[in-house]
Amino acid sequence: MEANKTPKGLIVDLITPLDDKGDIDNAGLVSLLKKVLPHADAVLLASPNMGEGSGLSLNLKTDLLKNATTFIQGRIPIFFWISEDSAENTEKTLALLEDLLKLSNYKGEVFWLDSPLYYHSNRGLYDHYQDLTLNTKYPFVLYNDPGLINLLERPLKRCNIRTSILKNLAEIGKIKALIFRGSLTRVNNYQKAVNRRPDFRVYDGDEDRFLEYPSMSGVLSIGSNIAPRIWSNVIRASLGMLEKDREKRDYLNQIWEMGELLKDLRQIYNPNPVWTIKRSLVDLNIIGFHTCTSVTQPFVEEENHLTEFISKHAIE
Amino acid sequence: MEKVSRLIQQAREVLQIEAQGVLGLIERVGPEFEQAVEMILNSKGRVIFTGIGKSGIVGRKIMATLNSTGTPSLFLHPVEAVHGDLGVVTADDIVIAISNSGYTKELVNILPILKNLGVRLIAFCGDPESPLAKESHLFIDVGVEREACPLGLAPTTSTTAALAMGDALAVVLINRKQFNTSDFKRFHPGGSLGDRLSIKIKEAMFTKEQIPLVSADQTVRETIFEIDNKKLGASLVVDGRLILLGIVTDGDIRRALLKWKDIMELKAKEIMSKPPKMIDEEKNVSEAITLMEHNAISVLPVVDKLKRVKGIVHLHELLGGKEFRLNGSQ
Repeated sequence: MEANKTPKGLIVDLITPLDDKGDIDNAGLVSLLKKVLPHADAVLLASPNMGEGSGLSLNLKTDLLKNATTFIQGRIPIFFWISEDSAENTEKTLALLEDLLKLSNYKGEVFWLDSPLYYHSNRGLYDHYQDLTLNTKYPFVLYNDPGLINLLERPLKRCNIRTSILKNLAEIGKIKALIFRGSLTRVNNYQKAVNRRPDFRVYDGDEDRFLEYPSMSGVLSIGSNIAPRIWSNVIRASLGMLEKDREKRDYLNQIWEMGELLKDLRQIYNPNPVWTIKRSLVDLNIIGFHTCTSVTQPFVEEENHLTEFISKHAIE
Repeated sequence: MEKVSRLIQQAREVLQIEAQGVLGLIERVGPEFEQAVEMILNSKGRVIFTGIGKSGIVGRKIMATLNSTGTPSLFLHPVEAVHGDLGVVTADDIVIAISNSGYTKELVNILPILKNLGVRLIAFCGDPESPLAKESHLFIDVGVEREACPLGLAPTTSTTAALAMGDALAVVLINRKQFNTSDFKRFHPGGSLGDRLSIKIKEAMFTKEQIPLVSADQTVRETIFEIDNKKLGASLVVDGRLILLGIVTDGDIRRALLKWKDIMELKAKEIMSKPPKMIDEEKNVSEAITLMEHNAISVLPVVDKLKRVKGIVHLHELLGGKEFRLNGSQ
């Protein structure tokens, strides 16, 4: 694999399997990775959404990266969310994770995923990244997620990276891509801002957006924790990577039906994706526990319709 | 704020995405585009487009644009290519292969064959790492960031982008070739010809002094003078009431020369063709052209209901005279 080449396609926003004591459930992690790896183009660990990254201690993060790299062994790129509550703490986390990879002599592709507005304002971001990127040999992917920033109790804070700032950040060669959530108008403006960098990818951070207007770079997918094969097929079709299959009878109909299935699936897990998906993965004997961190809201419904839906449609 | 239905909102979003796809190409037009233009300008052959599905349709449109702006072009279907159509390709040609993914099997399959023929290959493609991009001499990046169709069921932004890049190529070639208005008319007889064909003959015919006319008893010498003066290659033969009796053409004179030793003092009525083909002045130009084509003649007398001569038409003049020729040459 070419060094630092950003992947294209399915990025699985992996849940973080935790045991009943709240430690990393390594057996569950390996089992889940075995399920998703054949279909994924990259995997995101410790994300602020599915990975419960903001609720993971530094020890848990290092354990997660250590265990995941031991199993993955460079087969697909790893995105790892590094953002903390301040620039200093983010730098510390980055340094620690970097040391871990260095000590384990990890040869695979790793991208640091950072949500800059989680701990830093737009002002001075260029200088911040000039410093941050100097301290690592691995490239960066930015994460623009206004939903995450809005959860922070900081009034008047901007929840999107300013377009002009992104244009400047795209001049930093080590910043390779952006995962985007937000309006179509904004993503178009972002795209214009990074046009000078043909290698710069803009991934969809929103499954619904991707299913409607697919980004040619790929998507960060929640549902692929439970339906990686279908997600992979739909993404590969959307990206024109299944051209030879177009000749097959009923191809378009099959892709359409898969897309509809994923939308239905999404309706079920969307209200509380981490809890719902962990519960189903336990039901399916993929992971051992449905333990969540404190950042995940407990779910009030007793029944888990997701498992029922998965069984009914024989989703793998 | 304006309230719009979901339908209108979606339509606007699609246009927004497609516009962004085209805008995204601007920064990517670089040295390879310049090289492609120079390659085409310096080529002694034609530009051959190839592609499958909607990319093929885009290829056909760009081909039509290049043809109408002075760059000879063809379309080669990749499947037909391997069943004999490759015979149309020569080493002087340039092939522009269009595929957003760059992995289209039928297209990739013919690349080695095309290269063996010695043609130069240009890829219009969205993936620089694809087999198409790698096999081509030049890679023109027509990649887009987002398709506007759910699940990529139909290519949308990507085909728009390829089409726009093709237009960019055509317009640059127009300017470099200093293609001008008369060149354009030369390749676009359709509009003016279409108008011309629908008018009535009486609006397009030669009349009065322009009509070459002799009486039946005038000599061949006088007839030749009339033909020479009016420059239509024929003279009509009429009686005193202008009723059409016959026609003397250059061909009739040649045949008379073969038949008689000295024809100059013969009467026009002795060598004329009769009864001549003729047409009513109320008919359309298109009918006159059809009649002339079917009878392999280039002039046609125009008469009224009583067969009185009202005018004469000439095939070349009906088709636009010196403005163009049907074969595109001046």
